[in-house]
Parts: sequence; structure tokens; C-alpha cells
Amino acid sequence: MTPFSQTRTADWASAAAGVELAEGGPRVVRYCRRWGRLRLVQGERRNPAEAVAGGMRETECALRRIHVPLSSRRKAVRVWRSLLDIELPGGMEGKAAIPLAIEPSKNGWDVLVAVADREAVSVRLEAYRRQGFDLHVLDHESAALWTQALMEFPPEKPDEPRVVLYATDDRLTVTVGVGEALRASAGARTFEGETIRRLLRSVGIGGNAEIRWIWCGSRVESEEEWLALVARLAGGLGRHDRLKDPAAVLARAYACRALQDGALRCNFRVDEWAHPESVRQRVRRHVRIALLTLGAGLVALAGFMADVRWIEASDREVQRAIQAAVHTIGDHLGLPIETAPGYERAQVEAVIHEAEPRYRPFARMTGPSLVSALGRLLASARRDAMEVHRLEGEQDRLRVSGWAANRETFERWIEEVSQEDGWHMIRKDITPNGSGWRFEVETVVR
Amino acid sequence: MDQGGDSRWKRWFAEPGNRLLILLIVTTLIWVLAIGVGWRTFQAWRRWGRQRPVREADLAQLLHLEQTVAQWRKAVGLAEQRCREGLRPFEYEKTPLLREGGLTLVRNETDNVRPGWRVRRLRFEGSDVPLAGLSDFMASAESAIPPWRLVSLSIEALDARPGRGRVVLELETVEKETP
Repeated sequence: MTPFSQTRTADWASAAAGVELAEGGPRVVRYCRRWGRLRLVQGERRNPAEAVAGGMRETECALRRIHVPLSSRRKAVRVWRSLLDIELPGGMEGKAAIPLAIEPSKNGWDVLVAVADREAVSVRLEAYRRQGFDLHVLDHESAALWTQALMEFPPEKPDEPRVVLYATDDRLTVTVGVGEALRASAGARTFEGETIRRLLRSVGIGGNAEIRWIWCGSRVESEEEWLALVARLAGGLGRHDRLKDPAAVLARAYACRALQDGALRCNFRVDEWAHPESVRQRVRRHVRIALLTLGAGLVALAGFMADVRWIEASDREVQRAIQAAVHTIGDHLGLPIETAPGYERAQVEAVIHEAEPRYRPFARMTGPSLVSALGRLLASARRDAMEVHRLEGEQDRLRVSGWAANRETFERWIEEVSQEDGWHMIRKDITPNGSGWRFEVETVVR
Repeated sequence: MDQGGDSRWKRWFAEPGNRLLILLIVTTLIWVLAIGVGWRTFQAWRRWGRQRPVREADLAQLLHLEQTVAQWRKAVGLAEQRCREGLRPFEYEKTPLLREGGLTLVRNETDNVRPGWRVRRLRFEGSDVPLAGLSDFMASAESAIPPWRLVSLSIEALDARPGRGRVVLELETVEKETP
């Protein structure tokens, strides 16, 4: 887990068992994660692949708020540990510190850190082990209570003062905050209103503030007892809510935090304290991701290579067709044509331009006769009573000038020769002349 | 010593983290290679997109030229065949237009175009030619073997003499050289 990360505490697992060591025996709640959603698993049967999550009690660890007087968040993230080392009695020696949140404050940043003695962590892990639970995740009780309360009773206003009370027969855990931000927490052996009031004062919540009280723990399972506790809170103004299945809230919270990303995620079993199975599972997960990435890379590589080969093959195909055309032209002309790639067209055109005078007379002999085309032209002109005064032609160009009685006759004549003989008019002039029209056309005879 | 070194490597490889490291290195190499080949593919696509239309246009033009040249060759073959079938020369001097129509031969030239072949060109001119006789003249030219083809013409009707005009005709044929 990286500092301030919101990654679930058992990011390698798809099922988790949250375990709370209560007076009457351990309470276990199981959840599994399917398509990003959590589902409560009924039954006692243990899933061998599930993560087991428990927590440090409030009295065994602490929440510390470190003020870093630096404007840069990046620098604040780098120096908070040194400041904590100064602030803690005895320094960081033999302690585990997990950063939970960082938020801007006056003149810098506030970092919320969960701190526990390594020895206390060991004792707590051993306590779980004695009950048959080898924990993969060792969470922080207050943080777990706070996020569970947020999930089940979201704040109605962003600045809503909130108190989460976890009450059992032998202890009380109080967590205080505003909106979604956890401010402080405290633990006591008995239910004392003074503990709560002192905690509220320490975070600047006044005596007559409208507070949202959220209750949980085995002691509020029965309505009467809960109402009795509410009554004992002298000056407990505001709205009181009770989490569902209040005795199993902590176990539920540990399991949910193990499987679901969110704020204030905490696991004291990190680095050299990490559970070997967690490390193994995490490595396995990384191997899976790496293999998938490797597979994707191989697919991309193969795709790109195939693409390049396809383009090259396509280029070769066009080049082969061009070379074949060049060779055929050379064969027809009876001379070898040497061409450089990319210049075939220009070089072949030059060769053909040079050869054309030697072949043009032969082609003309087998091509359409200009005489028969002229014959048709003159016959249609005669039929329409048009006069042809001048005819000039060379190669495939023909210029005709003459006289027509009316414009429509001339236009019809032009259309007829264009359509029937396929002549392409490139110039067409017609001007009124006396009682008729004088015309001049220039056409390409195909 | 070797066995000790060997087992050290085995131990190193047995660590899951080290195996992951090797996998990450291989994955990185594959991706570097894929990015390199991808860049080459991108360049090839760009080049292909730019050059392909040009090359296809070149090919289309070459195929068109191939057809043209094939027609030329076919025309030469046809001329050969006609010559084998027998000759019927164009006896222009016997045509009415030359005998009494005022059309005169002003140029008669030959030019070697291919080995064994020559092009013969005739130019006729006349300033007062009966236009009605032109079609017969041209018909006899075109029906000769090998046929004569009209290369250029200029016909201008004379306003003062209806049915007559100034005429310039250029005819061409291909003849097989006789040894």
C-alpha cells in the first residue's frame, strides 16, 4: 500500500473475512467482490483464497495529525515522517506509522497518521492467531468505524459534525470528524460522557452544536440499552442513528475495507511485517498483469510486423505489375527498356514518344477513316440545308466553318455528330449573319 | 565452485520477486520493440498513403501505353497480312480529278520508318477543283491495297464558282520495301 493511497487493503483478494475479537468470541463477516461490487457471503465455510482482516483497537494505537508548514504537497509527503519522528516520544524507533490522509490546512498541510508500537502489533497479531486467525490485514479500528459510518450514513451536509460511538461492555471507542474528514479518536474502558465532550472540544466542536451521533457496538444491540446510553449523554444535541447489526460493524468494516477502494485505508502488516501470503499473492497478481502486458505487447508487435509486411507485399505487387507492363511494352516495341524504380512511367513515355513516328502510320491505316467521318458530316449538313464553306483538318483535328438557316438546325447537327461519331467539340462559335447564322467549329475526331 | 554458483543463481531465480523482475524486463523489451516496429509501421503507412496513388496512376498509365503499343503491333501485323494478300495500288494519275479536274501532285516523298517498311506521302493541291469529285478520289485512295489515309486536308469553297473550291490533300500509306 503506498502512502495516502485509497487502494483496498487486500488488493490481491476477491474475498475477505473481517474478524473482530469480541468478549464472547470472534465475530466474522465475509464479503466477496464480483465485478467491483461487494456481496455479503452467508455461512461459516472459510474460503482458502480469502484475505483475513482484523484491526488494532483504539487503545492499542493512535491517530496523529501532523502539521507540515510547507505549501508544496509533494514536499509535505516527503517530510511528514521526519516531523512525526520529532513529535513522538521516543521517536519512530519500534513504531509503525501508516499515513491515512493529507489535506490542506492553514500555512501548509495536515497529515493524518495511524501510529502503533511494533510490539502492540505483534501482541494483537498473536491474539488473533490464538483464536485461529492468521491476519493478512491489520487495520485501524477508528478509521474503519469512521468509513463504515460514512458508507452506511453518508453526511447530509459537507460541514456536518459527526461522532461515531462504538460501545461494548468493556470499552468505548469514539471517533469525531466533520463531514467526511476524520479529525480525532479516543478510547475509554467505560462509557464516560466527559471523554466524548473533551474529544469534541479538542477538535473545536462546541457544546450546543447540532451533532450527528452514530452508534454501534454490542452494547447498543437492544433498543432500550441504546436509548439509555443516549440519555446518559448530557447535552447530546442532534440526531442519533444506529448502524444496522451494530455488534458486527467492525468485522464488516474490516472486510469491506479489504475489498473496496476508499479513503483512510490502513494496514499495519506492510514491509517486513507483511504476511508472506499477501506478498505471494501480490507478486502473483503482478505476474498476471505483467503476463497480460507481455501478451498485449506480443500481439501489438505481431500486428505491427504483419502490417509492415502487408504494406511491403502490396508495394511489391504494384512494382511487379509495373515491371511486367514495362517488359510487355519493351517486347511489343522489340527493344529492352531499362527503368529505375519510381521513374518507369517517365522513361517508358520517353521511349514511346521516340517510337511513335515509326508506328503512327500503321496505326492510322487500321484506325477509323477521316474520309468516311467527313462524308457523314457533309451528308447531314446537306440534309439540314446547311452550307459548308471551309474544311481544314490535320491528324485528328478538324475545323469546319459555314452557314446555317437557323440556330436550332446547327445545334441539332452538332449534337448528331457528337453523339454518332463521338466527336469532341473544343470550340463552337455561331454568329447571326443576314438571314441565317455563320458558324465555326473545331473538333477532335476520335 | 561451479555448483555453488549454480545454486546461487537457482536461489536467486526461485525468488518470486526476481522472476517478476525478469518478466518485467522481457515485457519492457517487447514493448520497446513493439513501439519501434509500430513507429516503422506508422512511417510505412504514411509513405504508402503518399506513394500508393502515384504508383497506381503510373501503373494505369503504363497499362494504357501497353494497350497503345499492342495496337501498334497489331497494326504492323495487319499491314504485313495485307501485303501478303496482294497489292492493288492507288492509281491517282488515272483519276478524273488529276486528269482534268485541276488537282496536281505537288509532293511525293518516302521515309523509312521500320526495317523493311517505308511511309509514302502524297500532297495534292488545286485552286479550282470540282468538289463533287473529291469523294470518288478519296474512295479510290482508301480502297487501294495498302490503303491510303487522309492525313490533312484544306477545302475552301469558291464564292464565285459554286461547286468548286481550293483543295489541299495529304495522303499517306505504308509500303513494304521490295528487295
